[in-house]
Amino acid sequence: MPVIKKIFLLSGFIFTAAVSAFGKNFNAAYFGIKPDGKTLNTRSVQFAIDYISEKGGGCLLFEAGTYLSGSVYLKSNVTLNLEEGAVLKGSTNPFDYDRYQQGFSAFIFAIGQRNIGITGKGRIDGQGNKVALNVINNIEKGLINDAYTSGRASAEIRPMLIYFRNDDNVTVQNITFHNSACWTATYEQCRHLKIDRVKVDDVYYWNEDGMDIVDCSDATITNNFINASDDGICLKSQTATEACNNIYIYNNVIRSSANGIKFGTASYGGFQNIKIIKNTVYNTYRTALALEAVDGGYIRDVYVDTLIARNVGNLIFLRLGARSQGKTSNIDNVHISHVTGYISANKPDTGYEYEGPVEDLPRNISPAIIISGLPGAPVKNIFLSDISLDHPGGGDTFYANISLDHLNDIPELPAQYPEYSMFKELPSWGIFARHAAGLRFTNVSMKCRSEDFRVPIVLDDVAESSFLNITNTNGHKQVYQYKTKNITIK
Amino acid sequence: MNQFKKVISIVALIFSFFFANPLLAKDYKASLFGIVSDGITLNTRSIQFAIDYIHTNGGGSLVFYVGRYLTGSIHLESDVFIRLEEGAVLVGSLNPFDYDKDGVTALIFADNQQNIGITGKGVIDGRGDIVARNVLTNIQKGLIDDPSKNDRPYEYNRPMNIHFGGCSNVCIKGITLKNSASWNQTYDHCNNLTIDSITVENNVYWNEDGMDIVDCDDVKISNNYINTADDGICLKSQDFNRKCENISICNNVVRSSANGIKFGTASYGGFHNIRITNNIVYNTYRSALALEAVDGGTIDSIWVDSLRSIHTGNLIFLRTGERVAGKKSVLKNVYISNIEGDIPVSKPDSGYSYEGPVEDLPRNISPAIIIAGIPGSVISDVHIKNVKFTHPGGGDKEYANIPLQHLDRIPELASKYPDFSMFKELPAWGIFIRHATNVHLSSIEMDYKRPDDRMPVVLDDVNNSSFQDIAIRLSAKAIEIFQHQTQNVTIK
Repeated sequence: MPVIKKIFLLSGFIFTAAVSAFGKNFNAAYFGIKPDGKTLNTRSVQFAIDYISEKGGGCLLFEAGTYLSGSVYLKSNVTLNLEEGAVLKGSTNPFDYDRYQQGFSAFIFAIGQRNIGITGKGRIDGQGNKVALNVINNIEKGLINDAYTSGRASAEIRPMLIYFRNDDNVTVQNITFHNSACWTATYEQCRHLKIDRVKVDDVYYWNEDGMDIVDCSDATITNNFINASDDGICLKSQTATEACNNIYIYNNVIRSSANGIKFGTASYGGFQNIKIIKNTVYNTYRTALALEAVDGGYIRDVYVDTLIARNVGNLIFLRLGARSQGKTSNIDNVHISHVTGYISANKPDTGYEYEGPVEDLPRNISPAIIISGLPGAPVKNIFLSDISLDHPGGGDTFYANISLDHLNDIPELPAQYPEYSMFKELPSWGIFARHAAGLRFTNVSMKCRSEDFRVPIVLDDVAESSFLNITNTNGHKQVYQYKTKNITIK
Repeated sequence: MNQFKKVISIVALIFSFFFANPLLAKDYKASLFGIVSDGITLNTRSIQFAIDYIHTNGGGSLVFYVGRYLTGSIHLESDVFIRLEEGAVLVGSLNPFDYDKDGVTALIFADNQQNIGITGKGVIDGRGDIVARNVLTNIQKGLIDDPSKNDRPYEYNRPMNIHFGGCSNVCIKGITLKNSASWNQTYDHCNNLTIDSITVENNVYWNEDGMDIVDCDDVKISNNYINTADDGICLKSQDFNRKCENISICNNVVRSSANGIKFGTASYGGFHNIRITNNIVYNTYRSALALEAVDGGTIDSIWVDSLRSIHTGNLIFLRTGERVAGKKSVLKNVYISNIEGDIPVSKPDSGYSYEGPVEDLPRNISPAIIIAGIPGSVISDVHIKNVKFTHPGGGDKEYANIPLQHLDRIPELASKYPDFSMFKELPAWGIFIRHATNVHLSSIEMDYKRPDDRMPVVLDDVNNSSFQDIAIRLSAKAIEIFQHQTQNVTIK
């Protein structure tokens, strides 16, 4: 980012902060909004927002109490401030929620607004598990039509807590998000987005992502704590002409029954200039860091530094796929440094509600780092340095085995939903890289806690790469190469 | 209506019976849609979903069983009936923001829909007194703009219970409508409307009309009981190009702190072919029957038969006016027969909440029958026969007096809001007629309780008229009829 741009961005934030600091406060009670948890306040809350926005902006202040509501729309220059003890509670009646243009359903919408926010130490509780069950009731009664697969209603008709789209200057701070019926909070095509000190407590139903940043630019995601039944911090790109650009993900702690920090699955446009610094991922079923370009989009200029992964299913998963035929994706210039990873021998999210589903078996515990492009479409220029990983080992040939002379048996699966476990058994426990070029690994120390028959590193169709100062505790030959070109190992 | 037209309308009636009859359509229980009867859950969106669903799936009835169903504004759609079973109460939200506003505001809207209705023995309770006060609170806080005269929010900020516009084949039957914050039920530009066997209890706030029929065609209003703070059954015409026509008002009982059965005040288009038979009006502050054409419209072909007026401020008030200069109104061809009435000495609606306001004083108790045209709009062809009424009399010229030689002191007030008391003192206690022609009264028996300084009958600018068998009960004397500027008046 050039300095000028940085200054510009910084002054933008200062301006935003100034606006919200000097805006007028309006007490919710003034608009007849009731804190009894029974009165459905939808229309009063909406009136209050419209009123404050029309009067030049300010803060709608909720003091301690439970405020029941259906869908509301945040408007320009309005901040919802939930004080400690204030709970904005979503109605359990699915009919109390709107859908945006026949698409997503949500509790709080903001569409095309500026200078908006949700702040305070209060809580937004979607009662999402109840809403979702009521949606199912309505489907089973024949009141609404829905594909309704695996006993879940489609994601679109289950309200999220937040759906912000095409907004500028958005601040979400200190709030606790609780129990959405689907993804927790989605910010799509927003600019100047700040998500700070938010607590996400969302393990009560399926598809509860911690947050979804979709085709946003100039976003900072800092100091958040996320406990989610689906992906923790998830960047998406839904639109081929848009991208996630200039995003700063710093000092977050994440627990997930899917992936900790993920790009994708939707990856139509791309992801670029993204910094992921000093984050912790723990008790997470799948990957601590998953970067997936599978819909024709790009991932480039990504910087990850200081990532601590404790008790996770997988450490790093880079995947290039082609879910729609003919759409080539690419991954280029990803820097990952100072990573500590501990892979669990057991299911890392055991005991949490809505645990990740056990699938893709039989397989021995997958390699900690998986990098997989497609034939003719390699993942490019991946810089890994100062990585320390701790794998349980214990691979057993009688349970699953891909012998090294049968690497071609590992399927490519270009159109399959990407997950680190998608290939089932892989022939290494530390690093598996396939269809890649320009891998630069330095200072990688790998530990295997119990004997594993697999080699630490397998490279298949990898070119122009170097592996410097790679150590492992397993006695086997360290690197197995197949169809490789110009590999330096020191 | 010629013979052919009659046949057509009978055929249409039979068709509409089969297609609009709620008994033939499918029933859907409210609970199917998650509509909760606890009186606490706000069901607006679920009820609306249910209506949309039934409408989309070929029509039927949304049935509410016993319980209290809280809701804000809902919009009825074609082929959907709401049926409130006995014990079911549709309860209006107390929060003014839960009501939609589209020029008017209401709990139940229908806009250009066909084959709709609200039936059953249940209740719609608008809780309008509290809603109106909450509106007032919002005005005082500066949240909404409203001129709020006399400490009442404007009508457009106070929800009615029902507002149906441009609908056809509408059936309102059996239900009780209570406590609207403004007019109770308004049907505007509707045709083939039936309002039957409903109860209206509406005495908790200002402007609570019993029902307002505005520019509707083909309407039956029968067997209803109405107790309201404002006009009971009120026909209006707000559209120059439309009128209220082909309406029958039959077998209703009305109590009002304004008028019992009224045409107007809005009377831009007119009122045509209306039959008002076998109705009772009681404890009513103003007129039992008020026909007012004051906005350039025409009242024509009106039949009133068998009207009992018990304890009302006035019996019959016919009025033309000119509220907008240059817009001449017409009132003609009115046939009134078999009327009984008594006018009390005290305020007829005293003791009811939201009593009518005491005004237009000083005046002695106004004449029972007032027919008052204006010079440019003379009332014509009025036939009144078989009328019996009792007046309290007691007119005292020390209190108020219009001497007979000064009838010109009675103002014309062409542009004033019309009411039987608008002229203040009048010089008769029985019948006062001014600016009328072709008026024919016969078999009128009048009675008074106490001696009265005024004449029984005063005619001023009345022409080509006849008065036959006009008598004071138990009096052998011929009745005194004072005439001023009359021509061709026969008295027998």
